[in-house]
Amino acid sequence: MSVAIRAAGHTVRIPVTIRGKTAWVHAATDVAFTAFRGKVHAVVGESGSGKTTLATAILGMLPAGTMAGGRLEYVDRNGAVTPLTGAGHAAASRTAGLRGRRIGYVPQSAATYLTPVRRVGAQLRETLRELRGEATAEELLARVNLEAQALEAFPHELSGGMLQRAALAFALAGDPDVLVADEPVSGLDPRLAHLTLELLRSTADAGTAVVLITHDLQALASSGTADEVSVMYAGRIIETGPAAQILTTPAEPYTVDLLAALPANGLHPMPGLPPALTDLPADYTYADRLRAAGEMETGYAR
Amino acid sequence: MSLEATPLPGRQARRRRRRAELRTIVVRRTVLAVPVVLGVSLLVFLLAAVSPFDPLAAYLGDRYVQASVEQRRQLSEALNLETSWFSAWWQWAGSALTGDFGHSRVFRQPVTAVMAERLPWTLLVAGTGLFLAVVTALLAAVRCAYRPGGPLDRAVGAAATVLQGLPPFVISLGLLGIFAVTAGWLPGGGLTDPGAEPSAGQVARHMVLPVLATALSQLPWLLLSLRASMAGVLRSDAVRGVRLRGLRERTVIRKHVLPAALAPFIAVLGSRLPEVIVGAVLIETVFSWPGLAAAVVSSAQALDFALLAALTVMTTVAVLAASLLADLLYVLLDPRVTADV
Repeated sequence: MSVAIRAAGHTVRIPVTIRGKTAWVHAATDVAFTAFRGKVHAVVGESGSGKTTLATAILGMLPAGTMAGGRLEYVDRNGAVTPLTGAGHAAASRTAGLRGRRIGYVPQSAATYLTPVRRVGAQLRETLRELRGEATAEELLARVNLEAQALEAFPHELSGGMLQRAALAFALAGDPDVLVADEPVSGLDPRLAHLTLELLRSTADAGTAVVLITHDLQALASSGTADEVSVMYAGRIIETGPAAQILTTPAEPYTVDLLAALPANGLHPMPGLPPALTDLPADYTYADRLRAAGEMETGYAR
Repeated sequence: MSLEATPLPGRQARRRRRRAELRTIVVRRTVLAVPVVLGVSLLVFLLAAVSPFDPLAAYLGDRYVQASVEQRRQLSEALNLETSWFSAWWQWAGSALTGDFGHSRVFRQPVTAVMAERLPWTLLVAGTGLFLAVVTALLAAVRCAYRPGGPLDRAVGAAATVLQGLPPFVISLGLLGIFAVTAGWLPGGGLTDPGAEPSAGQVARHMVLPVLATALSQLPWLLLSLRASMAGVLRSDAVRGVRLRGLRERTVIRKHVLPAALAPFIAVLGSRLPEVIVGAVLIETVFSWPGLAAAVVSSAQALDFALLAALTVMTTVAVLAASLLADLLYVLLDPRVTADV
């Protein structure tokens, strides 16, 4: 079990222009994170908590003009370290060399992930050729439980579940040892969501480090896919631990509320509103949100 | 193992369905073309009848003043100018259906002979010019797509916008002024030097400037529309997907951005044929190129109805055919488009 992705003090500020003025989105603050080969590490949290930015950073695809501090790096099987953040041409070509080959990506919106005017097979074979993948297109589809006929189809002819599996096949084409899945089950019905999570699980069991980004705690808890869970709030990872522990006896009030909001646990709404990450105060925590929601004073505790 | 109930269509089935769709478009458009062509030809005869010009005066030229009233009447009868516009159209349409488009008074030849003689020259210049413009637009747009908003992209965009503002005759006169009059490198007009045989070398030298004028006047809108289409695709999730998959920028642009941007571009290409024809009229006139487009001008000035009507109908058919071809290509290029329109 070796480290594949390691972050320490990883901080990201993304500039946005609002009415002519530049504001900074606090997309990640002092993030510590480790993904091991052979394990599924889930990152959970509400929309806008910075999960996708973490995925984007691991793939070296942060938008231009972004400031990144701290460390976020890829560690290969021999222990050689490659930084994943950094400005300039050298950093860009460094991360571009890892994409697909070492770090694969499963997108959220598989429906728009492929070029619409070309067949799935042509695009998959092109990816295999360019990444020098060893499997054939047919083998990859078999690995994700997709019939070989899908190769002849155009992307719009496939259903959402088929596209999601096809996207996984594309991510596996370059035989990466890290797989970043950004909300791979959102928009899928429970049966397909389960199947996708199982595929990710078996990918990890084959020795890949899987980073699973999701807000669907229900599917995560019921499937038992994850080995470790990190909870993100307002750009920070507030809690990390074994999945069984985090999903049953969490320490942080935010995680407690997240779990209480699940249908199986009574569908209690999250208190207050998630913060805007634009120019967030440096010491912002979930307690600020609870205070704003007026629940601290009314004896809010569980 | 299949999880979905609906099976995917096989390659054979898809091809069969596609062919049926294309056939539907062709049949539907051809049926619709008939009333359009009839209407246009009727309009030509109606407009000619209400125009204040006297075709007899145009036919006789200087001799018109000398001719007696009796001579004029006889000639008018001989040329069949006395009938109403509708019966003139009726006669024309009847013989046109048998392939007889009448006699051109300006060129003193059958209309079909005028067309056979001049159409190849028009196709040579307009075709070469358009081809040159399309190739240049494709190459330049692909170059620009590597760095959207970069120096090259901005320079090309600005140059194309300026060029777009220049009408074809200004471009033609500019080329004429620079290369023929000032520098004297290339001949300024005609098909050959005076008295020379129309050899390949002669024609090649004489066609350089008209071809260049055609290419320069068609290039800007081709380039700008392709560039805009590619810029849209560059921002798409699919292109981000290709980059996330770790493919080279070369593959991103050539195998993903260009194919996806091509379909809207083809649609524009087909709908702009009228502009190409208008451009050809101006360019052939400036360069005294003996093509069909120049014949449009001569026939209109001389009220040569037989030729004018035939040319107008031919232009109508060409425009309809071009838009049909563009739609067929669109259906072939974009699998999401169904021909059920």
